[in-house]
Amino acid sequence: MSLSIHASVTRSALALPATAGGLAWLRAGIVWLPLVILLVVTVAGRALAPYDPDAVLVTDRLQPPSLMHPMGTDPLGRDVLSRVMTGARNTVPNVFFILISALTIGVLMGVVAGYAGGKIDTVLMRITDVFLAFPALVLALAIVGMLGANVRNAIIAIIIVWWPWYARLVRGQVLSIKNELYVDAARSLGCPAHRILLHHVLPNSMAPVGVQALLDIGAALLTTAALGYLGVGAQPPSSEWGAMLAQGRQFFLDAWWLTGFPGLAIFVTVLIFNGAGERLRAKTLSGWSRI
Amino acid sequence: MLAYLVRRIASLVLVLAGICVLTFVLSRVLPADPARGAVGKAGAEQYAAMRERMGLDRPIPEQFWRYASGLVHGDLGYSYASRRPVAEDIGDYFPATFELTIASLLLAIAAGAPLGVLSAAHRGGWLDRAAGWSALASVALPLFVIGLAFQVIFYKTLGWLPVAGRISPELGAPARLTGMFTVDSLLYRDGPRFGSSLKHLVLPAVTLALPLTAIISRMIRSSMLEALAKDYVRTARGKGISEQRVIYRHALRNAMLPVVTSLGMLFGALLGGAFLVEVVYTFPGLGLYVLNSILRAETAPIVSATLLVAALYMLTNLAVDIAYVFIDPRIRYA
Repeated sequence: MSLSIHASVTRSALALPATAGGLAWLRAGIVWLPLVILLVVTVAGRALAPYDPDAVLVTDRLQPPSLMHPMGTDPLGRDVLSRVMTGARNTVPNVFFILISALTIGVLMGVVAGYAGGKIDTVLMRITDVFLAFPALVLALAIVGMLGANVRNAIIAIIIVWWPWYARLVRGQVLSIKNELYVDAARSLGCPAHRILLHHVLPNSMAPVGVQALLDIGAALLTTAALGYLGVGAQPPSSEWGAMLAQGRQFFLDAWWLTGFPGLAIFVTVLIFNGAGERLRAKTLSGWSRI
Repeated sequence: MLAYLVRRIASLVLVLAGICVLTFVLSRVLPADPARGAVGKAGAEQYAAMRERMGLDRPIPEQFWRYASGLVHGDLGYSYASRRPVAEDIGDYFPATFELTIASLLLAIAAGAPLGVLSAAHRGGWLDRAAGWSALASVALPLFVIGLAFQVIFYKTLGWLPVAGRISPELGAPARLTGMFTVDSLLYRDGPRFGSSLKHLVLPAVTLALPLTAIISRMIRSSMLEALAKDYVRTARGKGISEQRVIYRHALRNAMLPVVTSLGMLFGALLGGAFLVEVVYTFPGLGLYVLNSILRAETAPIVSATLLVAALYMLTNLAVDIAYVFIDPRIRYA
């Protein structure tokens, strides 16, 4: 999908003048502090929330934002702020799980294709071509439609559409690395293939793909949320942000806060991850050519 | 060039075949049960009859053969919910998605290109900074949040624009030519219907175009900056050519190339986004059709719509690659 594109937009916007000495800590703080807050909310959201996110209070139903309920209440009178805070825990870890799984499959396929070459390479790459021939969201929707609408299947669907990108990226890396002098040297010393792969090729081809995965966190969250909004991801009564969106969809014109605030939470989270990913990219790859 | 084309099309056919296999696997091997979806809660007898009618009692290779030969003959299966062939349904829904996607693409290019050029020409200026930050925001905003905000502002508060459907129900669809309401009504000089369909298209198209505008403007900005630093630009400036001419004739033409390359990929993102936007605005296109089919557990429409979108996406990429040769005379595919 818009994987690398996302990153490039963030990059150009964050490309402020080179960090001036005195303000460096401030700039770092702007990027890292929100990330820390987000992680704290993700881990301890339930404890920090002002109300019990599942406490039904029908007399308080569909209240607009107020001092008592800064984000209003839902059709069952539950506090939206508390649900958004608890929802982080049901949302953010899923995204990490998706990326780690996609990365694992992609790296495996990419390394095998790149290192083996020949027929294996051709077959594996044609397979990735087939997956990449679909717009990601469309294929994910079809898969989840067939598997059945729930959060587990939505995660599976996104992993299925996500890994081919990493397979391609890693294969390219491996192709350029396997002819490096140190790999030749290892081979001529009689180093077995699996050792060359594991100790020489793999570590050296991981950096760009790892950074890419960091930059993709935002895009993966948006895709998960999209499936949730469409009602084929996590299901109510879960406070997963996508599920909250799907529930709010029926009330959107009368109770905008039901979709507005989980949407805002997604927006802020994506911003935080895009910014942090971009910073990491700039730090780890400052010597690398652009990817 | 010809050899390249032949090779490119051969691999296209191969991937298309792969797509058919994948969609078949999706529809038959995964747990969804189309027969159960079609008969609902009916008894075991009807269920068995439906399985037989759908050919689900046949061996898998035979099922695939029937599926594939059906595709070749334009038979996409039958929708038990709309009580007509899926191909007819898609004939109605697809033009809506296509219209929405193309409108957004044009909007995004029309807004994004000048914005990118101006940002590059006045690098670091207020416009560049504002464009940078809003680009950052608009790629992080979920489409449905943008859509929600637009609906609250332009429909609920201001009452300027409608938020559901493709045309006002009193008017009904225009005479059919392409199936795209704005195009058809324009071709038949049907003023009222053109106005109505355009009004219905504006919000969905702008919503879908917003992130793409950001992406295009930033891409053009960065490739413009690269181009402006090239020797030929310095030469042009040295010859005393006006700055405007340098930017538009020399830099922009070269800066457009990377954008053209990624148009194919961007089109894919647009198609996916269109599915989402259609649901936000109840715009009856393929996305809404697929979602409704999912809710009814009907597999044939889901598979066919997905297949169609993939084919369109691939053809776009092919077209972009070919167009590239004509845009950039330096490129010669061997």
